[in-house]
Amino acid sequence: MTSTATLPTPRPVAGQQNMVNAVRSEWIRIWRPTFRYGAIGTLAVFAATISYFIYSSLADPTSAETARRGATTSADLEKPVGMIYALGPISTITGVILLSLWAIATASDYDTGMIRVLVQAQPSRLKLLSAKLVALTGFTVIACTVTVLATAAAARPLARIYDVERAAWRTDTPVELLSGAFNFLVPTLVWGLIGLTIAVLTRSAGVAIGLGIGWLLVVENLIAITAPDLTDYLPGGTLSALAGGGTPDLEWSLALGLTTLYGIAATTISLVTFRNRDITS
Amino acid sequence: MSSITADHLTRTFGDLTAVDDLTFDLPAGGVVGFVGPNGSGKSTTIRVLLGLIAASGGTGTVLGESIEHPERFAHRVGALIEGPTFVGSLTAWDNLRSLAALRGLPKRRIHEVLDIVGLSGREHDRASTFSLGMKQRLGIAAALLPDPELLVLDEPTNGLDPAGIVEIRSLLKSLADGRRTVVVSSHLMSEIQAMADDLVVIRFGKLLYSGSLDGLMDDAVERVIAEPEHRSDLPQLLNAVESQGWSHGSTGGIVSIELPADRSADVDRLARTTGINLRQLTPQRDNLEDLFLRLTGSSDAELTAGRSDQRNSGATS
Repeated sequence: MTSTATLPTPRPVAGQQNMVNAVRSEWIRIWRPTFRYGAIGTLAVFAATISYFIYSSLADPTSAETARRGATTSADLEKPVGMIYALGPISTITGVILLSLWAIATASDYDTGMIRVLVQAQPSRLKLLSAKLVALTGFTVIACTVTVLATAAAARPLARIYDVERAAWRTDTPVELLSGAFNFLVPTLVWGLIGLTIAVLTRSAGVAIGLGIGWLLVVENLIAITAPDLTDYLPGGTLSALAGGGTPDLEWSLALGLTTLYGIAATTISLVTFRNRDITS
Repeated sequence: MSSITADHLTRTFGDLTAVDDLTFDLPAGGVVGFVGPNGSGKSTTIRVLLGLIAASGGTGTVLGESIEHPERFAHRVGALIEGPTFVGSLTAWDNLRSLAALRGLPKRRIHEVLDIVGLSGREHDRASTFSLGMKQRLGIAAALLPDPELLVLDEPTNGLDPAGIVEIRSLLKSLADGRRTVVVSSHLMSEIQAMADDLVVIRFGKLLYSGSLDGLMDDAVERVIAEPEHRSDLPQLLNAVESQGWSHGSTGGIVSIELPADRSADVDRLARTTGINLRQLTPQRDNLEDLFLRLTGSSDAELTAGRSDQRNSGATS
């Protein structure tokens, strides 16, 4: 240990502590190996696995049961969007994974006490949380891109193996891919925002993840039983509808509008709460 | 010039008053000890002063800036609050890089602080693999990143072995040069006595003392401890001491006489003229812990119980 009282570094000025610094700081912590390999790797594996199950269990298009259940047929996969058809079915699990990741990234600052160090170094709490939102959005864009690419990459060999006609995939592919990726990315981001908001409110990753998943798997299903007309307008239903490109009950544009509203509400709640509340673990 | 001032600073949590009308003025430069038993409100006071939690009443300044505007002094302050905190799966380097990036500092500063705390060569190890002592050093390195004018360290020697405590103490004293103030919060009186120039003592969130350590130590009582060779001689020794009009006390076969160290020979002479052989004759002076207990009139356990009583009475009133 060096015992020195003279430190040579010039004093930083307050103006240097800007938003870019805060985003860089967040990015270093978010782009850690456990997040990088854990979340993105898991999503890529899910994309490939669920694609396999979709292709290996195609329903008979002539069966009445298929029509009643809305099961996937080879005709669904042969459409231009067929190459990334699996994004719809995996959107919910992707949402759950990203909700968990955003919640962990936020609540772990409270769990470890890191939040005290961060707020002491950068007292502008709005800047700190906004930087986290930007960094997590960047991470989510990368994770979703990898998932889209993994889905598209898995689709080609699976189509060959299960005799799915791919001619339509070559028409309008960039447009279809971008459209599908957008419908996949936006709900995933809002899932993440919901995770972050619950984490800011509860300051606990476990509670935030439990509440988020509990709402999706339990509460929305209970509401669906008692008030089925509401289902499409609840967060889970709306985000799933958007990921699927809209449903007969909730068209794409309305799903996008509702999703945006949910995103704005979550962002506002988290920013107001984080700005005004005491920093305690 | 003051490093920190508090003016009737108060913070309540429901019925509990954690910081109770604190008023003090810490000078700039040197080591300031912030002392109180566990649960006395030290960490809460620090968190209020650094803008982590809002004050319920009163105000204060840090480096001349109001605590209501922490953005005005944050870049001049480094802090280790309630223990070191890091992302365990990141290396020491990446943890510091993240904090340096937040403050807009160059990477070379990371090398410098790692060198200061003696962690050079371990920067590529994950923080989770560090011992508690190494984590403390890493926490101090993080606090040193902005080359702060004010360094606030909450229990910086927690978990350190004796050699580590000596090292950190030496480091902190060297850091507290003319322009830098190091505020060390601790419940370990011996640690504070060994390094502090000034002192703030609180209990139940209330100020008990604020001023120089020497000023407080001026009140230290000097004693001569005398123990007769045979316990049966104790009453006779006590009579002899009383006959001299010396203030004294006795426990466990030992007589404690309030006399300065240079009067030890007088005690020895008195015992010999009375025909008593002494097994022990030791000059002794109150240390900070003795003075603290005299200020508070309680042991740490009693203080903690008192805090609990305060909370309960507050809850029921």
